[in-house]
Amino acid sequence: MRILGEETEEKLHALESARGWKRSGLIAPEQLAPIEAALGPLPVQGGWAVRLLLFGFVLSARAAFNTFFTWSFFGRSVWDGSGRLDLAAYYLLSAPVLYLVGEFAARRWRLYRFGVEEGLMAGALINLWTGLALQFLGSSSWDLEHKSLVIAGPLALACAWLYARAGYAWAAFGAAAALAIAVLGRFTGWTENGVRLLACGLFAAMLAASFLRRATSAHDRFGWQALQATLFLMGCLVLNVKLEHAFDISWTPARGGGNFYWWSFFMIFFLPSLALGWAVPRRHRSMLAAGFMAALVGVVSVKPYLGLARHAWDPAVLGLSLMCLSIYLRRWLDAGPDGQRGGWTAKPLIVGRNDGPDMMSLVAAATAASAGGAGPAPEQKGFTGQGGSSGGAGAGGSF
Amino acid sequence: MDFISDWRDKGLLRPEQAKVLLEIENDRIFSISAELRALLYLGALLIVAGVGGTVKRYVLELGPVAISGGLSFAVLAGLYYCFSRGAPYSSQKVESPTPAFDYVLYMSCAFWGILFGYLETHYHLLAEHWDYYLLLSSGLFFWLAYRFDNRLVLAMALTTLGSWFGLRFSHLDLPFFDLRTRGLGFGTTVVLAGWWLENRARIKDHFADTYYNVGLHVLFWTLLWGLFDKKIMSAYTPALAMLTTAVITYGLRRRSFQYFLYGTVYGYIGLSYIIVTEFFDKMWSSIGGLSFYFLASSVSMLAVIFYFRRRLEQDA
Repeated sequence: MRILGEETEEKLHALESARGWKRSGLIAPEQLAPIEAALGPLPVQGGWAVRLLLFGFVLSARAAFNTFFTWSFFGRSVWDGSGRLDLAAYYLLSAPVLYLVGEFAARRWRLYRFGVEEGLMAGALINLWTGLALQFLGSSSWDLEHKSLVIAGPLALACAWLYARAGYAWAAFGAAAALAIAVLGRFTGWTENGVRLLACGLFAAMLAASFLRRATSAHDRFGWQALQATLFLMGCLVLNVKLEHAFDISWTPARGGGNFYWWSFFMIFFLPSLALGWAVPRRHRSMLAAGFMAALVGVVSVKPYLGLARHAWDPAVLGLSLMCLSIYLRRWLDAGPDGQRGGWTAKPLIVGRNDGPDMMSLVAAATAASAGGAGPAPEQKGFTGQGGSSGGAGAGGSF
Repeated sequence: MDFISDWRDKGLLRPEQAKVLLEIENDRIFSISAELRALLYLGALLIVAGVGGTVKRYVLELGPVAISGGLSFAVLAGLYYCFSRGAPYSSQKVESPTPAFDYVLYMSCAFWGILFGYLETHYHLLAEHWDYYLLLSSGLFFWLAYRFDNRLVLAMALTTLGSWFGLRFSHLDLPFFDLRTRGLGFGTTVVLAGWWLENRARIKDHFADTYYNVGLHVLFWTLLWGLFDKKIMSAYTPALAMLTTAVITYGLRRRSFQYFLYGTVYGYIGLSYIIVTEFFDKMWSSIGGLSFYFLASSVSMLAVIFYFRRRLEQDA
């Protein structure tokens, strides 16, 4: 099914593994050359930063070409709305052309997950979406339910096809998202809780369907596991009715009520526990991360759910807990024989590629500066009302 | 993993290597080192943000003793931990004795900053010379960063020094030394300092990237700001062109993609600004020309990146 065949995919995976071993000192540098020679000529692949840059410029070129072409051939009618159907036809017809150019780049120039062919194929999806939206979104003869189906349905199929042909993880995410929109768009009349339940059920169904694919090859494992983890995380997040208030500690929303409210409160802790309990014995790295993130969001949502006042020190308490957890786990693993417990270790094994900008130091410096590290807080001169803290009839500080 | 067994059989891997690699690739040995490190990093950021927010929000309720006492204790405890556990100074790279070590030092420095911010706000110890607290903090952070080989603290030292640099010279009201000139002066100084430490003094040469990152971002943003403000017929145009060329050349020579990225992206922004504002000022009537420019320039950029790709990928 893959553009360059399963054997090439396996070889690319093997090459990437061998390079990781070299970086990590697991094999000597002089061992890599004969391994590369044994694999034979392979398609060109880029590190994530090169890939992202090329991807961005291809998308930019696509947008510029679309504008140039439509402006040259359709003139001002493109912008005043009268040429909407011409424009839709252009986008719908150009989508398969772009896709074929992408496939050509992969086959002929042997560019594979390199950014260029990827940008062309992503551009094909964007053109398809734009064409469908121009064709159906402004149409008065279609209601919203049908519009979502005829726009998101073909997009889901196109994304799934792209994943099957090229194995881009983002295409799989796109397929899942488009399918969710296509289905949920048909139930816009439901209550909010009903839509939440339906969305959660839909993500659960997609997750269950993903497990039907039993033999995931090694080269495909990471992307497929990431898709499963994302589906799980989305299912957890849509159930959380206080999600929009979870990260804003400046105010406390009122406590809600009802069966669904308390059931969802239970589920935002139960589901992460389930995911972690399932992922630990199976060593499913992505699901471990998703389960942990879902648990973290659950912890942050406790106070909004219960209507409890939140404090400025809450992030510090959470941060301290995370650090303690990390240190405890590391020590526990290090105390095992050979620094392992049941095969789990806190020692780094494979060193990743270091081909992008290091943002960790800059983010840490910015956080310290915003916390008050790079200058004093605004000066307080004279009397400032404290919002009735001294019995001032409850007048606000700005009164 | 068939390919490992295959390479072992062909003699490309030694049997003991193949055994370990098979265990790793089959997840029989499963490392969560990156995940644990991410937890430490996230935890440290949350603690710093939470403590800073608490001091700002509850400054009156907590009172000076609790705030200054608590922050002083945290700073001293952190520094005690670092000095009691840290390895002796070396001009080369020194590994952290414990995984949490770097983050404890980072938090101590951040608490120091919060403490001095609080003291200056409420007691005006240095009055109108309060910016010297930034210089003092920056000096301390530099010393601690070098003493304990900590890049997080080095980035703090550089940003704090940048804040002092901007503030101090704004007080002096010097002619020809406006904020943009100060930005250029600071960025150039930081880049040159990094270069000198890496190539001449050879002290902690792995710190050079932090100097270059901070200095280059300041320089590029300042030059772009100057270009946007003073347009093409200004000294900012050739300065931006020269810096872009120098940074791309450096990235290619060092086979470092991040510098190549900075040079191409900032250079592209500058060039596009000049072309759009100088040649397409009546944008609506020339939208065809504008889109042609972006098409041609994007394709050109793709060709350039594609051409230099081999020289940038360290593993290729």
